[in-house]
Amino acid sequence: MEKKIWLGFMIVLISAGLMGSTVWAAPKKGGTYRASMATDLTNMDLHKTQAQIDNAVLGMTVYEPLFSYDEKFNVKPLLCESFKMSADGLNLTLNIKKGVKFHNKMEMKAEDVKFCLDRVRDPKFPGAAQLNSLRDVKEVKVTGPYQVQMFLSKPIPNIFYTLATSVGTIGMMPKKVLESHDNKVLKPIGTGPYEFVAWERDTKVILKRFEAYSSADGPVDGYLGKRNRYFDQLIYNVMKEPATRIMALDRGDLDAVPVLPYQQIDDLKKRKDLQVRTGLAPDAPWYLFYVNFNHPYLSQVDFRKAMAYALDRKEITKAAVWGYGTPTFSVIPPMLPAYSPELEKMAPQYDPAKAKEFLQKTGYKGEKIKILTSKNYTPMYDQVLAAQAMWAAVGINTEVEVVDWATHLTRWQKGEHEILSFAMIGRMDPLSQTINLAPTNYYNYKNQETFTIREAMQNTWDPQKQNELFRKLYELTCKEVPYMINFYIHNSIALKPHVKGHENFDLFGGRVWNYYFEK
Amino acid sequence: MKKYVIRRLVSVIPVLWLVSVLVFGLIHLVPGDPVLVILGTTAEKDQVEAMRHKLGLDRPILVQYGTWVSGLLRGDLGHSIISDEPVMEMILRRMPVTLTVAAAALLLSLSISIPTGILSALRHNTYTDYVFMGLVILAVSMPSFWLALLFILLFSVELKLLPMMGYVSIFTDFWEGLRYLVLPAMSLAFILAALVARMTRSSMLEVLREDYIVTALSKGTPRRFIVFKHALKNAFAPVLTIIGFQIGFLLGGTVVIEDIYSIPGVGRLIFTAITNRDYPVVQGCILMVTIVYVFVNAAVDLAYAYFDPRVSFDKK
Repeated sequence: MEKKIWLGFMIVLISAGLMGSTVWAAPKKGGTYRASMATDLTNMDLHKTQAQIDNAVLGMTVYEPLFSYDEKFNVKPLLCESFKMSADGLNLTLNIKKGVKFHNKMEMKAEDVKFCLDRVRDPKFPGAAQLNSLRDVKEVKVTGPYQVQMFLSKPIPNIFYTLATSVGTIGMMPKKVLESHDNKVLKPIGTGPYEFVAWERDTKVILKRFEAYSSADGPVDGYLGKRNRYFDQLIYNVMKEPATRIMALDRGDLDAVPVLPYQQIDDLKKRKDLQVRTGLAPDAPWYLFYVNFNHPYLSQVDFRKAMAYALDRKEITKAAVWGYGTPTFSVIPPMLPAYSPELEKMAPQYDPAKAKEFLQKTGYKGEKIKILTSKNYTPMYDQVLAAQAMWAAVGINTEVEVVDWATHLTRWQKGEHEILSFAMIGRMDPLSQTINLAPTNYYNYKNQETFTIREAMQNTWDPQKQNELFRKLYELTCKEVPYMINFYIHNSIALKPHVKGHENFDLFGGRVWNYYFEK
Repeated sequence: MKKYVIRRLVSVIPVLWLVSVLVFGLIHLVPGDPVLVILGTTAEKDQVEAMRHKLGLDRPILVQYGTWVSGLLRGDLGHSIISDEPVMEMILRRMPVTLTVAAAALLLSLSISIPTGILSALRHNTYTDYVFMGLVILAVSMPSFWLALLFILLFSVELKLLPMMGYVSIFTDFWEGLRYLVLPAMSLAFILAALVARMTRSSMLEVLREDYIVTALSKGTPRRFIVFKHALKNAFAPVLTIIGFQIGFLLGGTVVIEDIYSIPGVGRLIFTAITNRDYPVVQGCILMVTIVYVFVNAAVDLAYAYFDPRVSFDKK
C-alpha cells in the first residue's frame, strides 16, 4: 500500500514536472520581431512585381496565394478548400475556403479570386506578373459565391506552380478596394497572418498581427498548417550596408539578419551569441555563363566544351560565394525530386587536358573574347574572375567588360554580348526552370531536339514523365553546352539566440508567423 | 541689389531648361531599360514590348521629352516607372531629410573649421598650427564611409550612446531627432571641416599680412577686434565660395552616408533611380537639386556684398 502511495506520488510529481516544463517551453505571444532588408521594397502590389524583396516580405506575411508548398515542396491548396481539374486539363474548378477575412474585415469571395486571377494576366495591366504563364487561360468564371472555374485553351501542366509561385505571388486582394482606387494598391490588404501598418520609404516596413486571421489551420507542414502569429509586430529595416546589419544585430537593434555577407559567414558561425543557418533552397538562384550563338567560336560545340572542361566549379563557388553555394552543372535544382547526384557524372568535369583537346578542333588562335558582367550582384563578377584565369590556363583569351545592372539586363535581352555572366531565379517547376531553353531565348540558341522535349513537357501532366523529360533536357545541355552553370547559391540568416521556431525549411522563405521569442 | 536678384532669378530659367535637356538626354542615352529592371530575368520579349508601349517608352525621344516638359510646366514631374508614385511626392518626402542632415553637417563643420583655421593662422608655424593642420590632413584622407563605420562601432555598438540607423525628424521630436543626426552629421562634417579650415587659415594669413591690419595693430587696436572685425570679415569671401560648393555637395545627397545610416534622403533616391533607369525620378530629382543649388549659389553671391563692401551688385 505504502509502495502504491509512493508510486502515485512519484507519478504526480513527474507529471507535474512534465506539465510544468511543457508550459515553460510553450511559445508565448508578444514582442516585436526586427529584421533587416538589404534593399527597400519596390512595390506593394505583388501582382506586378517580380522583385524578390517584395515577394519575400509582403508575400510571406500580408498576402496569401491560393496554393502553396508543403514540407516536401509539393504544391497543395492554401486559400483553396479543394480543386478539380477536368480530364482534358481544360477546366480547373477552385473551391475557396469560407470565412477567410481580408485585413479590412471583408470576407474573401469568389469574385475577389476571379478579379485577382484576371488582374495578374491582364495585358493592359503594366507589369502583370503572370501574363505569360497564364496566357492559355481563356476565361475565369464565378460559378458560386465560393467557387471559380478557370477555362484553358490548352492544358497548362505547371498551373499549380504558377498559382503557388513566390515570383510574382498571386496573393488574394479585395476587388472592391482595388476598384475604388483605380486598380492601384494604396495600402496592401490581403488575407495573411500580418497586416500592413506602414512603409516608410528607404527606412522600414511595419506590420502587425492580424487578429481576425483564419485562413490556415491544422498541423504545420511547410507553408501549410497553423500560422501562430506569435509576434505583435514585425519591423523590416532597410539596411543596404552589410557591415551595419551585423553591427545592428550585435547592438540588439535587430533580431535577425537574412542574406549574410558570404565572407563573414564562417566567422559568424563560430559565435555563440548567434544562430547562423545556411542552406540550399529549392528555388535558389543559379549562376552561369551564357554564350552568344552568333559568335564564330562560341557557336561551335567543341569550343563550348573546351570552356566547360576548363572550369573547376568547386573553385569558382569558393571564389564567388566563399563556398556557400552548391557547385553543379545541372539545370535541375539539387533540391527538386528530378535531381539525383548521378546526374553530375554526365556533366563536363574539370579537365584542362580535355579542354585543350576540344580547343584544338576549333581553329581558335587566341582571339580575345569579351565577358560581360556587372558588380550589382558580387558573385556575378567574382565568378568571372575565377573563370577567366581557368580559361586562360587552357588558352582561351578573354577580357572583362563591367557594366551596371540595367545595361547588363538590356544587353542580355538584345543578345549584345559574347560570354555573359548571369544569374537566374530558381523555379520549382521544370517548365519555368528551363525557360532559357525555349525558342524565345535571348542568346540565339537553336536546337530542335531541345525545343521538342520542352514542348513535350508542356503537354505532360504526369510529374514522373515531366521529370524524365527534365532529365533528358539536362542530358542535352551536357552534350550541347548551351550555357555553363557554375553553382546554386545558398540562403543564409543570422538570428539572436532568443528567436526560436526557425527551422531549415525557413531558409526557403521565413515562416515568421511561427517564430517566437524565448523569454 | 533688387535688380541683381531679379537678374539672377531670370537667369535660372535658361539654366533649368538646359539642365532638363541634358538630364533627359543623358539618362535616355545611357543603355539600360527600366522595363527589364521591373520584369526581371524571367521577362519574355512580348511582355517587355507590351510594357514599354504601356509606359510610352517606345515613342520617339522628342515626344517623350515634350510630354515630360508639358507636365513640368503644370508642376507635374510624372510618376515613378518602378513604384508608380508621383515623383514630386517622392522628392518632397526626402528633401527635408537631406536638408536637415546637410544643415547639421554644415553647422558642425563650420563650428570646427572656422576656429581651427583662425587659430592656425594666428599661431602660424607653431605647434598649434602643425597639430591642427596635421588633423586636417588626417580628416581629408579618411573616407567618410570608414569614419561612419568607426563612429557606429564606438558610439552605437560599444558605448550604446547613439542610434546607429534610421531617421527621426527634429520637427517631430527635437531631442530624439538630434540623437539620430549626430553620427551622420559627424561623419560628413569632418571632411568638410578640413577643407574649410585650410581655406580659412590661408585666407586669414593673407589678410593678416595686409597693410591695414599692420596699421590697426600699430594704432593699438585690440587684437581680438582686429581679428574678428577686420581680418575675418575680409578673409571670409573665399571661404564662403567653398561653403557654397559644400552645400551643393550635401544637397545632392551623400549616398554612402545615407546607406550606412539608413537615412531616407535624396541621394539614395537618385542613386536607386539611376540604377533602375527610373527616368522620371532621375529627371525630377536632378532638376530639384539644380533649383536648390542655383538658389544657394545666388544666396552666396549676395552674401559677398556683406563680407566685401567692394562688391556692389547695382553698379554698372
